[in-house]
Amino acid sequence: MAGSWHGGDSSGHNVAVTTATEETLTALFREESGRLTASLVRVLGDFAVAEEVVADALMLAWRRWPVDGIPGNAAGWLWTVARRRAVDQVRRDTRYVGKLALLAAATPEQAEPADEDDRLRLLFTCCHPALSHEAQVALTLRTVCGLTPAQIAGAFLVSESAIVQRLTRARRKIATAGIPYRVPDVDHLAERLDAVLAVVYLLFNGLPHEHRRQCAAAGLDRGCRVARDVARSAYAHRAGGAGTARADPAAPCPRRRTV
Amino acid sequence: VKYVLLFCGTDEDAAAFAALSEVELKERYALVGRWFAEHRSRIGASNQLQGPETATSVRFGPTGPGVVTDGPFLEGKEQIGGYAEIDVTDLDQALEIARTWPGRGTVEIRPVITSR
Repeated sequence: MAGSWHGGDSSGHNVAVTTATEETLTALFREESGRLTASLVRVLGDFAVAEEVVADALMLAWRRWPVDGIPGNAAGWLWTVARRRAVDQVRRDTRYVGKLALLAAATPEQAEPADEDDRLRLLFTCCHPALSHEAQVALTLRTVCGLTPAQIAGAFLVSESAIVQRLTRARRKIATAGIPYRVPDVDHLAERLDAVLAVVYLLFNGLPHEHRRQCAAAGLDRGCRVARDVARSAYAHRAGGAGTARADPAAPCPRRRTV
Repeated sequence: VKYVLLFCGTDEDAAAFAALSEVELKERYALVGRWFAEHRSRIGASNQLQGPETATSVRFGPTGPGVVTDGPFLEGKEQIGGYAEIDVTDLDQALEIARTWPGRGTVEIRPVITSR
């Protein structure tokens, strides 16, 4: 995925790097930020902290890599930095005492196999029906696709502060209302899928061109995964083909909604 | 996580409830009773409330003593008919219980602040 995308939008970043590196970095960051955020949300159970430490790690990479070069294991590098920051954060907050051991045990190697599941969980949490459609879209773009609040604001012609506020409110609701971080079981998958598809559809059709390819790829990727899982679960539960048909990414998506 | 389920309804919901025949009312209460029995292990305190016409409110301004008035806090068309406290793992489980509520109207789910 890295380097295959050429719509780099560096607005908001003032660090001078060569164009090629900037494009590579932007693409790499987009890919890795969703991955990292998903894994950290799983471990920490907290969106705000996860996003913060991931942003810190990316910032450090953004400063270092143009000078030092991109490390061979870029994902591992980012993970290590983000995890270290997370440990610092957790130490400061007694609420997270129980998470320290989890963080210490979580290595990139261990995180890797669960990675795809983490991101799928993240997508379903972002698109939980207890969040408004606007919040679902903003949160998915931020955490799953790695867009900055400024980029999301630009895409929907809303002020950046409005997006920041929307994100803050959504994260707070997830935490205080106890919205779980998981893919719903097969009995509830069909009803939950509509919201996910509506958001994925918006990633295709509602975004300016430069963000579309990246986000659509990220969304479709997860979408296909859901389709496979639903098909498998439905088969296992002998629940018939209803769930499978709805999960088909080629099937008509819900009507476009505006944000 | 602890939540309180607020069983709410509009004036129309209340009117529809009041219009139930004795037999229908019995059936409705039987359903509600079954619902409470089914979720007994998760439900804490719960009560049905007398109607909003029986409500009395003490309203506090920014300063000074509270003023006692006749009527409920919610002055619109909505009213709260009862509540049940539930203790479940997350919002999805709370939603699952709320979805099966046989009393119609609207069920509002509010997380309870618990001391850490």
